[in-house]
Amino acid sequence: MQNTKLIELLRTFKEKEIFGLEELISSKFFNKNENAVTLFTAIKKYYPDFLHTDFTKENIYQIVFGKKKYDDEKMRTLISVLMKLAKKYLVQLELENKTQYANLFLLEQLRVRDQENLFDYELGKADKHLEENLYKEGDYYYARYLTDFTNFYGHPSGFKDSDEESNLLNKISLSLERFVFLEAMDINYQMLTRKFKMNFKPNYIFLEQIKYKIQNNDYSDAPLIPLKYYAFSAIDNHGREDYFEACQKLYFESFEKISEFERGSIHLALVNYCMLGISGGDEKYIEKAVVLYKFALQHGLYFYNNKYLLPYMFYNIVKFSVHIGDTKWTFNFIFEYKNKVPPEFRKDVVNASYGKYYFEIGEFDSALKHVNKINPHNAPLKLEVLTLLVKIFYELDYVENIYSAVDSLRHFIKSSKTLSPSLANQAKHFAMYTRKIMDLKGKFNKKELEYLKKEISSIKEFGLINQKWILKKIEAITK
Amino acid sequence: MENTRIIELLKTFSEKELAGFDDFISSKFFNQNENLKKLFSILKKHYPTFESEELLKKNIFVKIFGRKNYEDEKMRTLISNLMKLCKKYLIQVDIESKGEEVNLHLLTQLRIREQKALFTYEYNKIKSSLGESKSKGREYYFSAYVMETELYHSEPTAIKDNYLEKPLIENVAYNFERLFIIDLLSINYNMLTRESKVNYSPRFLFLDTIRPKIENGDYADTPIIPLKYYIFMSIQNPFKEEYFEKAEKIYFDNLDLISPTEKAYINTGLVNYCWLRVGLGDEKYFPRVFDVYKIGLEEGMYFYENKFLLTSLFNGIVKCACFLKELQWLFNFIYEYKNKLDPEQRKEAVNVAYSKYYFEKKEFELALKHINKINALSSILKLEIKILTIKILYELGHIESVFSSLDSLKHFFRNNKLLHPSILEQINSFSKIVKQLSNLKENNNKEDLDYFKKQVANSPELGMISIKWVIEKIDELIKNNAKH
Repeated sequence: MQNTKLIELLRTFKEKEIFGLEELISSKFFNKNENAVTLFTAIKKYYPDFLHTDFTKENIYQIVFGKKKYDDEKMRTLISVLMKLAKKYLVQLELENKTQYANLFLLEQLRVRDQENLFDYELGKADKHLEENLYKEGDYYYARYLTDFTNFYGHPSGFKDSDEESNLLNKISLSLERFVFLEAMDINYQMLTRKFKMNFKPNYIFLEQIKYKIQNNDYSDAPLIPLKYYAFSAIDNHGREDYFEACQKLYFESFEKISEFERGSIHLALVNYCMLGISGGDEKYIEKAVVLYKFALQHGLYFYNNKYLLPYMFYNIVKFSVHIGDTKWTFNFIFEYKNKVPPEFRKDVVNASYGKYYFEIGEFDSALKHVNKINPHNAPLKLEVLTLLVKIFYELDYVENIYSAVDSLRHFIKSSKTLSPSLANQAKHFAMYTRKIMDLKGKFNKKELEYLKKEISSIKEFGLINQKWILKKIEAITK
Repeated sequence: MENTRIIELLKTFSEKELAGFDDFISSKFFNQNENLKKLFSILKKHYPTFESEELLKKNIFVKIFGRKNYEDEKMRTLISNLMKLCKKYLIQVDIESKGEEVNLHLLTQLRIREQKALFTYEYNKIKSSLGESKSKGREYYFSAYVMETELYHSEPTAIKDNYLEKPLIENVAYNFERLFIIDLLSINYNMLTRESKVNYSPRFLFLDTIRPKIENGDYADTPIIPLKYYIFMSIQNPFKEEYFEKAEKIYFDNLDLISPTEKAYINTGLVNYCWLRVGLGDEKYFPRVFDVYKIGLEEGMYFYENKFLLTSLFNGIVKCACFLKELQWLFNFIYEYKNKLDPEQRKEAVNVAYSKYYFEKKEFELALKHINKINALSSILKLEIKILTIKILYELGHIESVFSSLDSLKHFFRNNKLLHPSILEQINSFSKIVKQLSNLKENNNKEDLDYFKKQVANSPELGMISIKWVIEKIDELIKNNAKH
């Protein structure tokens, strides 16, 4: 019983939802099968983990059907009845969250029943709900469009006031257009990000039209539209700093006017833009990214829908803020947010972060102590830790350890299947040149070291932070 | 209780719906107020008429609260709570009518709860149900777009094979693009038809963007898109018959692939184009539009979306049958469909229809009798009545009345700024020509009449129906002259 799909689903229910489902099952409107009610009563006792040894199909069967011989088919049929009811409950739940759609269903029924007065009354209520509860974003414009269209079709013979009808038609058209802009820009953005990950030539939808409209119209009442366009254009045209600047400026100015979800998504796009800059070797984007991270933390952006911070994001915040010398802030950040890392990643991420922090402030023994506590399974984090380990050994001058750490790093790059090609390539360069430096370090061959310095500087796929560190080390040797 | 909104609403319930509402009220999930159950059990006994002494608020109050001191506020609150439940119930009725579409909401919940296996099962169920649908219209692309978006977001990072992600996002884009184009073509069409009726300047959506792609055959897998597009283009460019020909061809080639709702929509588009051609003086579109109407009526297309036959459609059919002198067919049509018109507009529309019918039958007194029963509210109907009245008065020989009616017509259009400029031109021309005709009726010679006939034949702004009538009248005068 414990491994059925039904139980797996019920495990995701909150206590309140279990009560709600119970009421739905007991309702004659949804269910007339008494055995389903008994089955649920028997099952819910095992909520929330549903793991007790008594919790078997046979035992539950006896509760529902009495002491008869166990009939698996009968039991499976009953479970499937309950499953259907659970699904109906989920639909109800979803509609509770989307009042605008429930309002539309009601309007449609009143329209077909010719309840003109009630239709107008409910239309007013639906309008009020839309205007008062939704941000001027995709959901708003789509619901606005459908509600106004229902109104339009609710008067098949036209309106008494001709201007009212013309205005309604204009409103419908405007809502549809804006909905399409927002939705198309979302899809285009998704295609764009795929373009960076794979060999994919995106076929963007309505991009030229959207561009023209944004450049020639005022969207101050719906800032998300230009925001999405600027975010997309910034990433698509990476050299065009003006798109990024426009996006960031508008984002900070319109922050209160956009929904929590969209605040997060635009923020992510801005950070992604900075990441592109960083991977392109432009150091100024590290600082820009830190500004964005700090803004997000200040506004609780990462916790709107999530209990925890994404592990890799936590590490990036540490890596970049410590890199620009904001060490005190970094230390406070790790201390304040370490419990916000998902428990299953916490030990690895927090120790890696402390390792990075102590490394940057020159306390290499402390750094090593933290790094030695962990062996991450997450590939990008493992790569960070292995790289950091090489650097720590170098700083501590543990020569043998450096060679073995470089070997581990190379072995990991070779064996990891989930590491992105670009990260793997960067790490490969780092491992290779660290080894070369080690070989040259004892020889003090200035000429060769200078040549190596030039060679490393010319490599684009090295990783900004590692490249900067390795060049600094060559400089130190040559001095 | 009889005149309350709740009773009005309950009167629209079928027996099955009433029983469903009973279950709904008894469900703790929706209602925990026992008094509401009592109230409904009293009301439902009097379904469907809800006419009984028992339904007096005071009597109901005693039954529910067991006291005689009637408290109107308490009673009103109870009724209003029942009304709320009734609305919630209607939402459920609508959900039930939506079939698989409702499961799109389920997909969202399963995605949020990370129930991958169940998600995939429900996704495949919707997909296979969509695969079975013959027509690919708005509903199809809406469902496909939502389910593909849900699928895409169900595993944003977990797809190990990047190449699997590519078709996912492409599917989202593909379905969204088609859904949106269907919607925008509908809106553009509504704006276009409005432009032809009143003084309105439309701002068409994305037309230049989609034009080259459609004309290039990019959406050939979704025939409703080029079909809607060519209907739009034919109406926007009435002189280019090739658009109409293309629309007509796609329509008949793909009839089985078009949803009933869209069939009706396209039928109306074809009708509108034919009327435009008629307006341009192309008489061959009268029998063409008559055939389109007959197909629409035979297949019940005009009732897919509307409970009533649209008055504009009814008027168009009457006008067409009159012109083609299909009078017996027309009489049967009026008789059969008069009760299918919106009750609010029925009296006016039916009397206009009978008036036109009797006018064509040359039973002018009867025609006048019907037209005098009408109290028109809309400008278009007022105009039509005024023109028809003038014609009847002329036929009856009431020339003085013709002149005073023409003055009234002139006054009417001077004060009506909402009418489309082409209609104003038509009224102006009609006034002038009927005035001339009336003058010539009193005093004429063959030369004047011949000249006038040529002048009328070259006045397309007058409209074909009026041209035909005036020429008929001139011929009668010429014939009379010859006799004398």
